[in-house]
Amino acid sequence: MIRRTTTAASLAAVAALSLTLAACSSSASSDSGSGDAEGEIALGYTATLTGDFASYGLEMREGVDLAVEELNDEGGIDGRQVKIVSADDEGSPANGPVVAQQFCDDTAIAAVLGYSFSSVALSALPVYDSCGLPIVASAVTSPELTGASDVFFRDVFTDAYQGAEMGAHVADGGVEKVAVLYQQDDYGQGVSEAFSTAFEEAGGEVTSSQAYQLGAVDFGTIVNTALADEPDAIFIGGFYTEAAKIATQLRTSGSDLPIYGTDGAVSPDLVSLGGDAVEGMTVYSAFSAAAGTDASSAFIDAFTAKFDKEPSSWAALAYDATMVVAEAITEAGSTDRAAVAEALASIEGFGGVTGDITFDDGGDRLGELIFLQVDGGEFVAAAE
Amino acid sequence: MTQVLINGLAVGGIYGLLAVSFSVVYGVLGMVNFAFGEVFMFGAFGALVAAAANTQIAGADFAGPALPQWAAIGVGLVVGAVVGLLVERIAYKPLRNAPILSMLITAIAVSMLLRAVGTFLFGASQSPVPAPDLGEAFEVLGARIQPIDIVIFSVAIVATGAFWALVKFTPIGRAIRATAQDRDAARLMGIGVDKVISTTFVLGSVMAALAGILYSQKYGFAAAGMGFIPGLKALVAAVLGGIGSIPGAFVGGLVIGLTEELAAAYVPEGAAYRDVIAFGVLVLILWLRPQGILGRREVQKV
Amino acid sequence: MIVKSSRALPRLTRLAIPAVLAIVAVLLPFILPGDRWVRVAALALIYIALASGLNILVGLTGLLDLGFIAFFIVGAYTTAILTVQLFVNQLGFDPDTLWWLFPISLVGALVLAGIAGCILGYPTLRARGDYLAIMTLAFGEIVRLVSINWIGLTGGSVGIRGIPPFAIGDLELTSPSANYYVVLVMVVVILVALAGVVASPVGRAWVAIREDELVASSMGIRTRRYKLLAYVCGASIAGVTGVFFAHMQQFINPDSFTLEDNFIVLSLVILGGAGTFWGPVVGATLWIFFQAIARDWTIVQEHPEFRTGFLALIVVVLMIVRPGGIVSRKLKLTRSGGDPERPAPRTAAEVGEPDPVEAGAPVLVVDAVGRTFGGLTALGSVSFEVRRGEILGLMGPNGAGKSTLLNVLSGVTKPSRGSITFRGDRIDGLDSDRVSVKGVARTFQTVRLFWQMTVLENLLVGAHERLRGWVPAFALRLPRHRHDEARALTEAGSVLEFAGVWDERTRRTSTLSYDSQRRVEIARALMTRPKLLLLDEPAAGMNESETKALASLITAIRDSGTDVVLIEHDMDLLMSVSDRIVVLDHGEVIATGTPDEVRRNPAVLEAYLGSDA
Repeated sequence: MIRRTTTAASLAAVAALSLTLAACSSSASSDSGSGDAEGEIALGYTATLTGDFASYGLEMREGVDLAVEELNDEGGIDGRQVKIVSADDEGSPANGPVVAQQFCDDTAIAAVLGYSFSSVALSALPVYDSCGLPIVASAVTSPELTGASDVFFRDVFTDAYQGAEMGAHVADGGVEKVAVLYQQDDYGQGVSEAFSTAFEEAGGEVTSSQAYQLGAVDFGTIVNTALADEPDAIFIGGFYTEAAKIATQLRTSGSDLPIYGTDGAVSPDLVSLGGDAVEGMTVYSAFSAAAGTDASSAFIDAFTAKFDKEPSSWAALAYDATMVVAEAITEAGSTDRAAVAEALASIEGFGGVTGDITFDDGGDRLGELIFLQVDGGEFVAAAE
Repeated sequence: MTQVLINGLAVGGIYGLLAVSFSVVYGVLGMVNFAFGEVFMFGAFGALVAAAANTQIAGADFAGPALPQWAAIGVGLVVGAVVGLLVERIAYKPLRNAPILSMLITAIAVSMLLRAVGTFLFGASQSPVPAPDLGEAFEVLGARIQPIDIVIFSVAIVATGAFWALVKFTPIGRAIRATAQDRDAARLMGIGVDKVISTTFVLGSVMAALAGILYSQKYGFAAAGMGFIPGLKALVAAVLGGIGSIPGAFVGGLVIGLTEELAAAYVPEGAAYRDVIAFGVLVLILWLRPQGILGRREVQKV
Repeated sequence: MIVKSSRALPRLTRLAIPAVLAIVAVLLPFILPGDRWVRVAALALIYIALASGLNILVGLTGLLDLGFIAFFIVGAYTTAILTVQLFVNQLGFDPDTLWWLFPISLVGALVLAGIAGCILGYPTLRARGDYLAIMTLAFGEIVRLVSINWIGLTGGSVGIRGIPPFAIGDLELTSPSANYYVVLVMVVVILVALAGVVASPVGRAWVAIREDELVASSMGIRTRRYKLLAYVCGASIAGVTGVFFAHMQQFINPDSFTLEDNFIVLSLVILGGAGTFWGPVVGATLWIFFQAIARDWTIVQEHPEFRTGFLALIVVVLMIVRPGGIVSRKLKLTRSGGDPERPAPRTAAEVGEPDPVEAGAPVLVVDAVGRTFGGLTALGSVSFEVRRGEILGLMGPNGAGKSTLLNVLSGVTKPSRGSITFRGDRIDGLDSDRVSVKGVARTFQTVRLFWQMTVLENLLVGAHERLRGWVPAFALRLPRHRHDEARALTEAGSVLEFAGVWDERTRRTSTLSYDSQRRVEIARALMTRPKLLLLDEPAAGMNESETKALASLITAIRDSGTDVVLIEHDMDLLMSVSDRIVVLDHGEVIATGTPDEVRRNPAVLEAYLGSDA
């Protein structure tokens, strides 16, 4: 009796395995040819589309979708329609190579857009290197990615660059002593280090520098420690979830010091979670709908018409990335991956909605930041 | 210093409440109900949704009942109790006589499952919780005290005390203690053991939900994953206090809260290492005193 | 003839499923529709190894570990730090030339993860099961958080990049298929080694500990040591897996190892079948492929939490309806064929080895032994002796302290005072496993067998002390051990024949009749080759004819050279087989003598018939 059921169970397991495999083949057959050689041009899009940090990925996707729609309305790239092949990396580096391989396998894909997390991009790079598929990322800011691969580009500024700009900006604003709080990860560390260095070079003093875990909720004690040295301002190098709580707890502890944040804090949720406490907080971004330039107003109109809301900076950056890739494919005259990569490297002064785009040797973008301030629950261009 | 201690007591009060839930259920059932972290979360969302004028559940918009704050808190407690009762009835009851390992594994799976349900219902990102209007902070001994902290600490003490008195002095409390001591003997004495266990779960869940509501008010948010880390900390607290003991669990919660805050304030890079320190204290204390701070050494039964 | 063929056949069927799986595994990269799926398969292999390692703890030994991923982290960071931080960054080697470093990393990770297993395992041995679970969770979190925060060493959240891919000389094994095969080799080696260890005294000791720790230690198994060994083995597997993972990904950072991964790997073990060999393999494969396939489903894209929710739901339901998981194939706990030839009936003369102690001389001397629990005195001051060649009956009314005395004698409880000398050696204060090794075996008041094992496997556990050895030797499946096992199995056969339960040898003990269970328990005790056997109410629950047969078995045990201490409520049995009787009441010896003397002793009569006070 026992013997029989065990054998049956084992067989069932094997059967289940083969079923699984069969299922793989059926679902995979659809993605090994996303377009013909002379038909559609496919672009890979991957980011963290689910989970706690899905908002960056979803916003980038909106920018990409708008760009693709506009390209196709104007007849596509070189007369070929553009389509997006999307994959969720779930924010897990273990998935990085799997998704990258999926794009590499799909010969119709000429370039890849997206990426929410530097760690996921870093884990995927060896795979892209091996198949020569170029990437133009829009949200990964780690300095580790600078020069990490010949096929890697990004139109978002690095943490080092942004932090340094912010440091100089804060010092210019007459602040002399700053207490730094940062998220204990590559983003928070990178941006805060660059900030502190630039701020001190400009003659300022960093009174204290404290790390906290992403996901932390209680900042009472570190806020106290930060205030103990009587700084003129607080700098938060981290995401909006924690920035909102730090601001709230700073305000309830009776301090009305000015707060400076980073692009990680630029989210409508900063205001919904932080309420009055984040009022007046200064942050930066590569793009702002509120601080619209001439180049961006058409984009903002189109975006608002399509999605019924203002574009975030991630949407704008991803829109630009898509347009840059289209430009590179046009330049290269083909969807050959190596040719596209080469064309991307030689892009110069491409007029995007987030400003002019040029990639340096490390694949990083050169350009200027926009400083924003929370005013009445909205991000507006900071008063100079 | 005073400031740090007050922060520690407020945080510790929340851990303490949740630790009491773990402790008392451990007492009667001999198992760690990992899912209390999720009951904590459902309690917070129950109160949030009940107080809201309009709300989103599972991606669809609903008109919320917009109850006054006190009623919303009551709804939160009831939601927590119902979730706790369902979990006990559906997942744990069939395992009454299963090995302890099976029950622990089930508890972990239930916790994962409830977190997934929470994510489905309320989304993955944090929902803002409006701060209660309790008046301005005031200064005592150079420390600035938030009214919410006073409320949390007093509620925690009163609730734990009431719970302790309930278990100590009422008939149902006696039945709970009898069941905790020897389930079979209790059954022979005519105690409805299943009912006692369910009651304990409901009471424990109410404590957990209360902790979750206080937590969401203090930190201004609710999220599907909000109960996970506090749950672990409370578990640590319950073990420190000698799991099964109500005062022990509460004291354990305070110890963890204070340790964390002191570490964050005085250890270099303490804020980044605060969880390490909380868990390190657990490992250290269990090394020195395997039965916990207030726990009694158990005699091996052969 | 018939015996021969029936022995060869199970071996073939046993090999059939692994063979099919192996063929599928080798062909997989050609079957799968694209390199993406090959990478998924490689990831599945990593999880198979992790789940198999965790299965040693959770499935085999019954120890819950909620921080298992910590060992994986240790392994991955060991190789990353050694290769990238030390050799490339500090010593300036070219990463392309470092392929020779891989085996060194592997050994380093094995050792470091093993040490981490020791560190985690050691304190948890003192704690109770549920505390242990929480402690492992805490330990796992500590390791993970340190890897995030110790930036100088681990690169913090940035992680470590540029870990060289698998390579042999100049040949880089970077293609998805090459990666897959390298990891497949690892998994096969781990599984083969694991199968060797499971089908050895080590594996049996683990399962025995899971089934009944106290009984395991009464069989001479140092339970703490084997629990620690389980941690070390599990941790080493995870550590090795971590090394392969790091080189496969060429990049690691803390995002690769989340707290939830601990629960997921645990769920995979449960899903597949904890305590089975193929369970973790099946569980991990199904989950990883399910996860990858589900990624393309709209419902999952909108609600990714459905996947872990689904896994958790399955686990909850499984625990209620089918706690064994998908695979319920029984674990193979011995490498020998499993069915010895029927031995010739054994006689007393054959078995008895020359004993240096003369008949009638004292072998066990109990001197003024007392035991107090809290304020309660269970044993006041008990003195008596057991002599060579006798059956000593131990009687007394309920609560007289008989069971406590037996526990003290067998090392389960330590005496509060007094001394116990067995054949010249003090055994008070020894743990029960050491007492067993000294030659004192026992049975239990309520039958305590290893219910998930067959009768023969139960007996092999009894032979633990003679068969035990070094784990790597079992992992390598040295022929010597197969030979030893076969010999022990033959011995087990003859003991079963002696105990009258030969016919039950291949059955699971849970399916036996009560009488047979009692006999198997005695046979298992005899497998430790005891010089003194302590029987705790062996006739309880037996009918008259079974009791009679038991009496002759007990006599035969004495005649074959093992002295017996018999606790019994059945007066007829006790009076008929005992050579002498010691009567206990209220924790004191009130009478000693032959059955006839005791029967007439007024103190005994009072104790049994007199006032209840």
